[in-house]
Amino acid sequence: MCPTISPTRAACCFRIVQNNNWKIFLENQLDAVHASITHISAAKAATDTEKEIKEETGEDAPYFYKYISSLSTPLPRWATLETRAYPYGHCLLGGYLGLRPTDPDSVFYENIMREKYGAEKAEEILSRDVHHILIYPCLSVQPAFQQLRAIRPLGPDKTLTELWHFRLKGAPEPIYRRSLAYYNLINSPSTLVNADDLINFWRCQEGLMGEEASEWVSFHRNAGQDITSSEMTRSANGLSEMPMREMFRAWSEYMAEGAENLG
Amino acid sequence: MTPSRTDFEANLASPRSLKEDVEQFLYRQSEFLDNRNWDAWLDLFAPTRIYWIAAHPDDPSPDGRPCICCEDRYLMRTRIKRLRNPKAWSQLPPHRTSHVVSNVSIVEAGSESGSIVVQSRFHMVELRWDKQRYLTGRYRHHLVRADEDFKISLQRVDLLNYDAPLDYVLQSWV
Repeated sequence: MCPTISPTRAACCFRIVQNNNWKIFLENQLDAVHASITHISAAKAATDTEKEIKEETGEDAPYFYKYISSLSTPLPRWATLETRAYPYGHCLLGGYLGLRPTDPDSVFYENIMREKYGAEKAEEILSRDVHHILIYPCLSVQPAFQQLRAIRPLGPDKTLTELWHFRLKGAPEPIYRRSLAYYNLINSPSTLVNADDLINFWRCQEGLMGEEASEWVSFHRNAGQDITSSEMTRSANGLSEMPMREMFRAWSEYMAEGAENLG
Repeated sequence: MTPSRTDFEANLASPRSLKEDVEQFLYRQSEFLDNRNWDAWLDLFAPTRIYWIAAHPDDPSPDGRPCICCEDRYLMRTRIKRLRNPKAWSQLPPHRTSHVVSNVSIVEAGSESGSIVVQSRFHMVELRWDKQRYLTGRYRHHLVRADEDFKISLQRVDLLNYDAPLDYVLQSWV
């Protein structure tokens, strides 16, 4: 959300092809278990560099190192995150980066928001801490960093992701620089993070396509413990595979509708 | 960014030894990269340096812009630490590269401060698992003299396929 309401798209789109089914990518977006395991090499490297910068310059490392180093957050902390699923497979993962900094740029930005929306509405917007929102089955949005990933299946084992970032109209330049830093560091083709995701997605795909592969993929973690209301389903904890179950529920409904229409 | 005719004439007139020295320097850089000799590769750069893969050939600088890659010495070291970690799952087995650097020309023969701008073309083949891919494009090195050698203050890379979908990501430098 930005002071003049509509974000503007910065004119750049990175496109990366994954050699896996699109569902594997969407499952990954809501999977808090993998982060500290899959990304340990990048997280450890960033943590070490944060220390080096402090030792060599006496100053704290630039804030963007946290985007990577925080991936090594231990599992018990990930377990405290909230995941929610809404009808039709849409779901979200709560934030974990602590995105209410109090540096002068952030304070300036928050004041602009209060002037524009009033204190109550501004607080409602600014206190919303969400890491990923999936608009199932085609978009992954990171509102805190103004990032958007469009997922385009090219085949059963090939998926194109289109990666965009946005500038918040009327927000000060440093706020855009955060969005840009996230885009360049996490979502660009030279990302230190995604290399290990993509290889694991491909391995999952190969495993599923093998002659002796099971016809079933287990998403049983915390099954039977989901907290369901008419509006949404909440997970028992951040490590639950509830979002994956809900995505598959939506997909099987879409497939059944398709089959009826064909029939 | 294309060198003018005058640039090429200046290049022809530039001292042969300088062009040869620069060529040897660029060949050495690509050897270090292909041999995964990361420490030696890093040592080719000046303390204040930027390695930049531009998102668009018209971008005049990386500042404030989307970049395919933009790294200072600390980010470069971070990348190396990741590559060396046995838990970098995508490095089992490590990817391999082979570079050819050619068409070297001195665009600016150097100011009093010793700065030299060099343009070249590269071809790079990368092997990952059983699959090879091919990247090519243009380098533009900004070099400063250091003792009897050079140091890179800025390396700009313009990929031919800068705006095309990339199969997989770039794990080390191009």
